[in-house]
Amino acid sequence: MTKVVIDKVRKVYPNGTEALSPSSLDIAHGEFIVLVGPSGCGKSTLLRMIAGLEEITDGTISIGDRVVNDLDPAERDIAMVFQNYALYPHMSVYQNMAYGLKNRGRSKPDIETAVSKAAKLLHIEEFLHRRPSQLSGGQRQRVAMGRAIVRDPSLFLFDEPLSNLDAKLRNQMRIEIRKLQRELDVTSIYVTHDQIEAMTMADKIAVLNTGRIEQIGTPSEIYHKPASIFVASFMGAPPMNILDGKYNGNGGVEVADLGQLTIDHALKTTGKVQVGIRPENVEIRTEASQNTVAIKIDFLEELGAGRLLHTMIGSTPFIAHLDNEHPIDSDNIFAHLPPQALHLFDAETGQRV
Amino acid sequence: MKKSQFRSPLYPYLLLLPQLSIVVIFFYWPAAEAIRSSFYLEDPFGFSSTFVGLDNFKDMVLRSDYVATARFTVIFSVLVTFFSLATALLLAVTADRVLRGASTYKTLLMWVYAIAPPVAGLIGIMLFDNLVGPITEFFRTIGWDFKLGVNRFDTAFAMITISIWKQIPVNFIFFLSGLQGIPKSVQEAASIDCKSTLRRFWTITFPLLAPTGFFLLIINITYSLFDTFGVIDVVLKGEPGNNPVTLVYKVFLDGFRGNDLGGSSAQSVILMVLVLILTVFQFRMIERRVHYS
Repeated sequence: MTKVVIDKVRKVYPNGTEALSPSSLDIAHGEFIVLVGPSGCGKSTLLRMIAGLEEITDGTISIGDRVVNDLDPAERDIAMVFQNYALYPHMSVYQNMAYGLKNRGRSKPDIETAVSKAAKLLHIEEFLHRRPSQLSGGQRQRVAMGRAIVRDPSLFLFDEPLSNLDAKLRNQMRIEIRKLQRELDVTSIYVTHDQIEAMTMADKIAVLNTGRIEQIGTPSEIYHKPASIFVASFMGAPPMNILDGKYNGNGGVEVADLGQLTIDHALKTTGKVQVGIRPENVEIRTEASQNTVAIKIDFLEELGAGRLLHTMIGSTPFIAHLDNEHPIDSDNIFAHLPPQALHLFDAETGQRV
Repeated sequence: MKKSQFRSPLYPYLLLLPQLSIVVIFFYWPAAEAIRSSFYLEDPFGFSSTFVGLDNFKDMVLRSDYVATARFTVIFSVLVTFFSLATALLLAVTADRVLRGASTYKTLLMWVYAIAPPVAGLIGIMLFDNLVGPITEFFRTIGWDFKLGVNRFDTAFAMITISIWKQIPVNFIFFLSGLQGIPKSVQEAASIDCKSTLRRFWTITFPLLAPTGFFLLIINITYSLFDTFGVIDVVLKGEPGNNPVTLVYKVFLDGFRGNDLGGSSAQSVILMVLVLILTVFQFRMIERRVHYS
């Protein structure tokens, strides 16, 4: 059983920049956790510290029941898949996969069994004697995966492994990696900047921003209850609509260019807030009622399965996701913002209220 | 391959003419001349020459001083090539560890390359000078009565050391850029797969350096055989006496000091064949091996 405990881990580079402020994260056995955030948010730094490729400035990381701070990468019982695959160009696929086992003193028949088992799982048996340069991107990706699973490690680390693949292959590999991980039941940490990868693959997501973990939760928690305005706007495509407003103290938020919005719970703060609503939660109506605003269609984006309605509320862009069923009468439409679908954030701290 | 059309079929040859005439006048003609005169016995004043067939070659290989020189040349080349490559590799690996990202420092190290080889050679000889050389001084304090130009072994030692010393910067720079060309992520993947740094060096870094290393091997063999002429000449001050010399230096000695043009030509023909073999070997190997990416 491998759980990973990251306890107040901090990273400061020699030039004084803090790449990661003290962050803690508990990962249970067999969990697939995705670290997601924009570039420079510290997600790769954290992963590399877990791998042992980067010194830990403060705090401790334990894998299983060992504190690994002072262990070499090779002693941590981990395997890592790199963004550019990092295959050994002078070795055949077989040798690439066998290298880690050989260095750990495993016997030849042992290695052969392990490699052929992993190769079968990944459908790369026919490439075993080729060099990495003779393989396509997708095949190299599989070999990199093979090199990781063949060692049967207690923790997988993935550093944006799919970002060099084309879109179609990426979707396919996403599912394959997840299936494989379930099958092997190995705890995994996966770094990506792609929020779709995060949503679809993760058991648990940690959203990072500017060297801080903003929120840890299941994909559904992250999506439906974002802890901050950053998480709300980073996760989801198209992103959440955000409007500036002011809480009036008794169940209503004054929003410029819109009027008063009723909300479904009382807020502790009084003052400036930001109101968020996901495009798919916006309802389109033909007559004004409570929580509606008259809108003018700027642009309709056809998605096949639905349509995106682009408009402006005041000077803020606003998007609504519509189904195909209702025809739209463009002269007379109102956007309805249901109280239970509204997310409220403190305008100063950005935190959910 | 792109094909161009010329109006006249002679036009492309006209364009090639300047380059070709340089090659012919300065390389092929002297080479042909050397081959021709290797079959003749020329009198020292250049008034007459007699065709002697293979006598010059026969003479050469039967003479014990030629065999001794050939033997010394082999030892000399092996030592110079090996130590200049090994030292440079060691230095490059050490520098590479510090250098990841530090580009100013790298530039400073590259400057060594800008020192002209004759200057470097002269400095080297000063270090070994019998009267004022600090290295000679040092050897004497540890009880080695070092006598450059007097003792065969001491002279050979100085020649070899200076030749190695002069070649290290060139090798260093090639090795360093070779090392920096190895992707960082490959090194990192290896550090997860293999705990021992030394083993990682031999199984990952060294094979990936092979293209650079092979290229340098050829360059260094050529250097030690031919380009060390200047170093040897400065060390011996043109008076070899009883001291060891390499084959190239012997060609010069026999031809211009000994006025044996025929014998000297025969020796240079042998060297030509050697270079030819080396070149063929190099192209064969480069074609066959060491191309990744």
